[in-house]
Amino acid sequence: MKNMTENKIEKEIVTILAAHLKKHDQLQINGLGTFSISHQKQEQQQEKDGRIVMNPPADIITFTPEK
Amino acid sequence: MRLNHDEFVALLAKALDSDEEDASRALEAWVDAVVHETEENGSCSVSGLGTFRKADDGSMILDPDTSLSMEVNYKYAGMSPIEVSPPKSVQPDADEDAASEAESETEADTEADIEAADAAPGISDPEKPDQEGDKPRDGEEVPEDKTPVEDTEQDIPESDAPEELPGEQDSFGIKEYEEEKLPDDLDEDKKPEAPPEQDPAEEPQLGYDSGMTTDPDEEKTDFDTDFDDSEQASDRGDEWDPDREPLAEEEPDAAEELEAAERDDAGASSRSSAFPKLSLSQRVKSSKGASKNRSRDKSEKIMWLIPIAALLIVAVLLYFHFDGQRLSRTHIGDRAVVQDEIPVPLPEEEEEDQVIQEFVPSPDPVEEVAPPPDPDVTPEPVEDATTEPLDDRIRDLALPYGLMGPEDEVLIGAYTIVVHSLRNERKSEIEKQRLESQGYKATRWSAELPGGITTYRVGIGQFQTVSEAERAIEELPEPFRSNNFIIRIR
Repeated sequence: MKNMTENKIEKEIVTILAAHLKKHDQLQINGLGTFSISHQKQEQQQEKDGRIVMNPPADIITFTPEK
Repeated sequence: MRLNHDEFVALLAKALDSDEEDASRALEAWVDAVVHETEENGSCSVSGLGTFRKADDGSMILDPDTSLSMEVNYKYAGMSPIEVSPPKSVQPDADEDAASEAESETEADTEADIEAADAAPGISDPEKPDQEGDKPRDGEEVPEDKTPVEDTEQDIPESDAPEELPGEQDSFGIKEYEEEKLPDDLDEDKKPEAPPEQDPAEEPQLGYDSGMTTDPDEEKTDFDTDFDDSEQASDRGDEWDPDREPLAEEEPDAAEELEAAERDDAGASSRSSAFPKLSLSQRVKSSKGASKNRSRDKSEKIMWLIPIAALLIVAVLLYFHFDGQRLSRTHIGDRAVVQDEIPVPLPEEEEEDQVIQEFVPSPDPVEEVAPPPDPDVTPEPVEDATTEPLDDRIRDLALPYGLMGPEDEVLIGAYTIVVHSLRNERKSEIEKQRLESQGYKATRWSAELPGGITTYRVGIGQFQTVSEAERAIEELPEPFRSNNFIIRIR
């Protein structure tokens, strides 16, 4: 169980992480890993029914765990 | 921007209002707790960040929080896949698209093109099928365009009077040929009886034919006399029929009918002198290779068939003449519609209908009736018929497609390249004006995101197909060239 102090610390950590991820910043935390934003380009994809659709681009949160 | 661990600890210390050592210890404790819980329970949920999971290989995976992901992806949030139905392979590269287009233009018979053409069921209207499917079609239309040319080439000789009339009268020719055989068999038996009376009839026919073919200028003036000669020849034929009673089993019936037709319409046939003259000359030429008896019988029958043919031709020409006037007056190309409108419209048309009805039985008033309506009516409809398709073409050319130019009209359904996606409306308007000042065709609109967030997007260019937009992207300068996305204007 996490006490109130731990909850407050976690809230501040998440706030910092979210704020920088929205800016597409990369954050590294020792013992955990690296948070970053990767851009996925739009690309065409053929569906099983033969239709061809173009998927929109996207900015995705990527987490790389520390080895 | 990149933040390392120390920088993150500094920020956390500032947020916790503590020193960096306490912040670093607190961060390490939080990390250990998350890692430990993930390893023990298989997952650890952190509110506002996501859920850490343990992968099969033992590593940690983060499933980001939905709201956080949307905010990170705010530029593209709310976008759904665009349906593209190109008549070709799925290759997304524009170069390959262009290559396949070129192949489809040159090799329209390849299986790939056929499959591509089949793979375009028209899911989305203005997309690649329009552009890329039309190109090979244009290429394919080339041979199709040749066929109408051939048709016209075929029509040309048909429209030529000398060849058309015999061609149209093939049915008569067959009958004549069938009838020729009967007289031939009989002529062989009765040759000695006929020749002395047929000789005088032959000479005027030959003179008549030669005059028809060699003196075209004298046709109009000499035709009356020539036609009189033909009548005389027919009269001689009538006198000659009783002498050939066995032959007259079939001929007298035809002769009577032809006589009646000729008497009714001799005047009309005389006015359309060019047709009988040419048909007669050809028929006589074609009969030169046959025997004299054949030529005589042929010439006699031709003499009778000429007025009928002339009458039919005049009737057909007059029908199309007045029908064309009706079409031109009503400005409509569909005859069915025109016929429906005939009884309704202007009194002039009613008068024309009456004129036609009066004219058909009596060919005499042709010259009086036919000319007047021509100068008044025909010019207007011809202009309308030609200008309408031209207007459509001009409209198509004037559609504001392209990357550069003023934004005259926002085309719903067209594709545009989004280069800005901003939450500040004022800033988006500034960016749009900046792009317009650079000559781009800029469009700005707002998009409502799932969280109630409004995003203002600025797109440049309007394109009919995705491939056109992709080609335009290659021409864009940085940062637009590497930071953009194509979206459909809705």
